[in-house]
Amino acid sequence: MSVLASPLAVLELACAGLSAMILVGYLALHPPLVRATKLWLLLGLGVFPIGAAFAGNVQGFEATKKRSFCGSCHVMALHQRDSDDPTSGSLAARHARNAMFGDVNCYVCHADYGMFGTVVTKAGGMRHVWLYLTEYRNTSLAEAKKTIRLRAPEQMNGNCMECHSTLDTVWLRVPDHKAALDDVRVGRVSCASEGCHGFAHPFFRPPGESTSG
Amino acid sequence: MTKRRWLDVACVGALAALALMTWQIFDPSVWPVMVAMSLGQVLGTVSLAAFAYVVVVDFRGQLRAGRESFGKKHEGDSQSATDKPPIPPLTSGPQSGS
Ligand code: HEC
Ligand code: HEC
Repeated sequence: MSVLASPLAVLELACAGLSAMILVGYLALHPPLVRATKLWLLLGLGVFPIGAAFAGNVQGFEATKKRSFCGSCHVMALHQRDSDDPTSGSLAARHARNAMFGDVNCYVCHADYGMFGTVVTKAGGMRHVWLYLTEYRNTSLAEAKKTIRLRAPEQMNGNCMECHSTLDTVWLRVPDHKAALDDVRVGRVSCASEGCHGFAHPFFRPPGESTSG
Repeated sequence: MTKRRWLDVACVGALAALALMTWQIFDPSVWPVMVAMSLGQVLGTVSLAAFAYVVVVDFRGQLRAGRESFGKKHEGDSQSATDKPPIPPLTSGPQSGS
């Protein structure tokens, strides 16, 4: 099973299993509360569950970066399907194919980078979960297309530049890059716009707004 | 609630917490992961706290029992039993080591 490929998952399962054995053993036998019993319970209620929680949390945090996690809210299904499609030409899908970050492509383009990047992103992610619960749980995809937009699209270029530095000579030789350099760096001209590299998710635009990508 | 009942609750709570934390490993989608990282943590922590509570209560009970039996043995002593902790009896076995 793929689960067993992750050492953290194995650690979580091992800790949870050992702990469960001790706890079930206690519930079945109810030994007198002597020192040995307390030590066993310390393992079963303290040490192993804390190990399981630690491994599980790190594993869970990693899971939240995966495209499959992003796609598990139904309003993101189209985004996920497009990136999963090996023939799609959208900008997002073209970032979904390499071994390094292909499976976390939503995250690498949409995370806030910087010192507290992950934490800030996760705190912002909680906002998404809340919105999903309160507003979008029953939203149809057609409706979602019209209402779900980035909050700060002008910050997107900053994320692109985490990887595409805009300092490379080959990159700088492209006339459009050279002409718009300052605007691109501060985010006045979006890399992912019509006339440039197209929308990252062209399928998610209402008809009039869409582009060939 | 008796100590035993507290421990039963702690064990069942911890088992539930472990189940939640394990579910997310097999199904890492939005609900399992959110639940494991919130409800799972809370349940597990509360279970451990219940266990700690029982251990403290038990320890204090043992202290009190020790003091009472000490007080009974020394009924006529001039000092009250609470002034001094019970002194463990000296062992008179052969000394081991050097
Ligand atoms: C995590 C690093 C990273 C980020 C962030 C990133 N890219 Fe890329 N980009 C790459 C890599 C790596 C490739 C080459 C992909 C491949 O060959 O599989 C690439 C390829 C491209 C290409 C060429 C695609 C093609 O098929 O020719 C364009 C255009 C591009 N990126 C634009 C962007 C834009 C616009 C953004 C921001 C919205 C962005 N990138 C964000 C790493 C990144
Ligand atoms: C190449 C970088 C890149 C990748 C990879 C990427 N996005 Fe985006 N995303 C963007 C940009 C840029 C926008 C701004 C709108 C546009 O250009 O389509 C955006 C917009 C969005 C929006 C707002 C609605 C919209 O479509 O405009 C959502 C929701 C979204 N992305 C979700 C996702 C999800 C889910 C994934 C993973 C399946 C993903 N994104 C992968 C760059 C990316």
